[in-house]
Amino acid sequence: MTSATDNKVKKVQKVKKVKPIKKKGRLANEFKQNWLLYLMILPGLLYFLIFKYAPMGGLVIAFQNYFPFLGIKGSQWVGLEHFRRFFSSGDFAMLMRNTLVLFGLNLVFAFPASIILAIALNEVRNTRFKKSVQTIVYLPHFISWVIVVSIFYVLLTTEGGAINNVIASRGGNKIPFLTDPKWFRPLYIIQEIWKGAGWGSIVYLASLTNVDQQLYEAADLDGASRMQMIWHVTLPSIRPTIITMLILKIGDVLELGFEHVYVMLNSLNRGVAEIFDTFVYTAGITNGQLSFSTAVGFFKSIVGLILVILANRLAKRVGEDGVY
Amino acid sequence: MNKRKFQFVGKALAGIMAFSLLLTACNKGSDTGKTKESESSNTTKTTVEASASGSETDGGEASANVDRDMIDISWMSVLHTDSPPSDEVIDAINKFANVNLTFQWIPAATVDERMNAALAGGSMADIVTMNRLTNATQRAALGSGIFWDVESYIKDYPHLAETSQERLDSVKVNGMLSGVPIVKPVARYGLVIRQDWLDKLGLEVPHTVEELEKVAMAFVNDDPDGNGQNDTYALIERNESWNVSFRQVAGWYGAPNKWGVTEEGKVEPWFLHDGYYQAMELYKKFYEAGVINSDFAVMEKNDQKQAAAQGKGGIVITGLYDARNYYNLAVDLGLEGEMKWALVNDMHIDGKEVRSLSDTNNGVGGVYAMPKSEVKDEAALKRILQFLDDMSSKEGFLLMTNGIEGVHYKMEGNKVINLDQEKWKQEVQALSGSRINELVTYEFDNDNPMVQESNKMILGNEAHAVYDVSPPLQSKTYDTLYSQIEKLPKDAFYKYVMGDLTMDDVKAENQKWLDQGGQQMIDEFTASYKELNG
Repeated sequence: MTSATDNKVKKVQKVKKVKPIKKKGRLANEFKQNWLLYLMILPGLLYFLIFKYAPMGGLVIAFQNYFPFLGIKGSQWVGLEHFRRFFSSGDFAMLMRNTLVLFGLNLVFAFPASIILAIALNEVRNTRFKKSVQTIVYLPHFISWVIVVSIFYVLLTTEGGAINNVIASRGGNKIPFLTDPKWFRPLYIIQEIWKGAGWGSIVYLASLTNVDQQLYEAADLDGASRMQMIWHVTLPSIRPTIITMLILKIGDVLELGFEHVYVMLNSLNRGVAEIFDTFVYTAGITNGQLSFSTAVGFFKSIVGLILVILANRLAKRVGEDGVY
Repeated sequence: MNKRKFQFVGKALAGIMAFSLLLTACNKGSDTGKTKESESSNTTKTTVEASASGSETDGGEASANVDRDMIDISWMSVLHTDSPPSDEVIDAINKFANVNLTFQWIPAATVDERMNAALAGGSMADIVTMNRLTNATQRAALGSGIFWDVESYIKDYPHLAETSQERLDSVKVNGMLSGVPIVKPVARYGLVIRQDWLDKLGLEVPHTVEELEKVAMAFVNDDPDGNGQNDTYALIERNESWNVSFRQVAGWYGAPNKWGVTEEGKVEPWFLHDGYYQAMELYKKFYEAGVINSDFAVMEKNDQKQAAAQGKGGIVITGLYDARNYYNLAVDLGLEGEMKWALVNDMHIDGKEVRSLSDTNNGVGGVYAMPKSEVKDEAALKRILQFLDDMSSKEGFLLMTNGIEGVHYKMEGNKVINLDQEKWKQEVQALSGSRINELVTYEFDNDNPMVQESNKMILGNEAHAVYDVSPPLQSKTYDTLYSQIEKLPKDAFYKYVMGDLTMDDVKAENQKWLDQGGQQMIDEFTASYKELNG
């Protein structure tokens, strides 16, 4: 899951080290001069080496039929068999489509929701009101998906659910929100926004506090309206933050969050709801197929890494900083 | 304790035996548990070997002559509750079986990872609880020969020897019995139905599917709860229906339990059987008539329990012990009123036999395996088997289930009365997840008449239990692919019942299952079955 970001960090470290290398003597000299600084990065470096890079060696089990009691040395090598099984199963296209659609919807609806919320909160002048709203919209973040989906179940079920009761009492037909595949995606996005928007707005609110107030005064003098100020002052000021968040988000394209989809998934909406994580869970993890699960995880990380690199390049091309 | 020993041996030798046992216990008790001599085999008495080769028929005598030498036993087991049992109870077990027991508890939530790690690192205990036989890793380990094959030994131990052949076969992997089976009731399922609703509508308890249909329709249409509103359904189903209750119904129609052998000797899954399709038609009819709750495909187990307690429906196909749970929940909610549940364990199609499909993997919950890396020699293995045998006796069972007599429970006739539920939860409950033979439960009477009745019915189920033939069979395709393609027949079931698919679509989905690896599973299982059964 984090390997995309790990690789990013790896790049950062490389950049740092690459600079001084030209002559051997210079490196030693550099090291002697700044040994204290090098000492300071040591704990971080060790952390990544021990907890992030060393375990990556375990990825070789994606090419084996790995059984724990045989160990990596004793397990049979099967080459790309697990990848072949994964790509050639009839489900691959469906999984890719479902994952991409949900990711796209996330990007179009859930991602901007945090920004809009942050800007709206930023415009509120009454501090007490602002603080209490802020706190309230953070809260859903701390509720687990199981609870969130259960709340929706209670509201939407066809047997005594509040919303269907209202529909029925007005003479309408009950709507099978929870089993109709058409309703899966809207519900998914609504739940994502309800749970995540408040929490996601924190980082934007933080960067909004750094906007130079003089810019607003100048805009005000020029006769800019509230909306114009938001468009021409606020948004450009937090653009670097938005770009950074966007690139990080893109790296997680295939990581939609297992828990949320898993608790929403049922036999009737599987055609639109099954994603890589839930597929791997039922097809591999529940009955202990470690190698197959690893192979799929490996595939997801590679896709994530490629997309981060592409998004970063794109960001740089349009004149932004990127994440590295 | 002495007195009960008499009962369970019941032989002329019993007096001498109990006396000598008592002596040994006293003797060993005096050098309390710290002695480490146990692992060296020289202390193992020869009587064990003698009985193994000699008088196998008389199990009681065999066990009676064994001196239980002090032994240290480490046991890696699964913790299903919040806290491990108290030292007091473990000490009582140590004293009873003359062992020095050390538990290594694995919380149930992390059992897969921890077990993988233990298998990978080879850091195992003398006894390892392997309770996930469908897990590819555990299965492969059990079939690899790293554990002792106990099949030739257990017949020498009176309680272990009672384990049915079906159970033994069900936990074999590659023909190896790599541990002592965790014995559970074979089939606990039946139908529970609101007796008070039946009485109100003047109906009889149904025993055939035809009668069930009539009762169900009455529950839907005739306002059984008498609140003047048409707000009840009959059969409360849930999202796991296909795997649990519907499987039973298909069983009534003659479908096998997961996998069965056809007349031509082929091993086939239940969803290709005619009975499966007939049961589906019944469910569709039920769903359309409002007999089944319209949200059953998304209802969780707990919501089902709530619905039953709240009287939203009046029939549940479930474990027979659940009637009591529904009742208790209703009491908690203040809703019990006149609630009374009737239990039915002989539901069948008119003119066909009664069939109860095993819901407990043929009555086993896994095995207690002894790794060869820890248990070095036969003598040590035999001593551990003796310990497991002791713990399957009535006394051993009571220690692990109810705790210490006088502290946690008291006996009234053949009834066990718990003294302090909270204390029991804190100090004993965790151990009940590591019992060797749950069937011993049924040798006691229960204080609660509902439990007493369901216990009796669950035992009665064993007579017409239908076993899954697949556990001892090998299929590589099944191990890797089954969980991936199971969703084809399963999803088709829900879609058909809810009206999204026709029967032809269902059959097309099942054909897809065959094409995507199912046929291979059938072939491999069939070959494996022929090999095992000649």
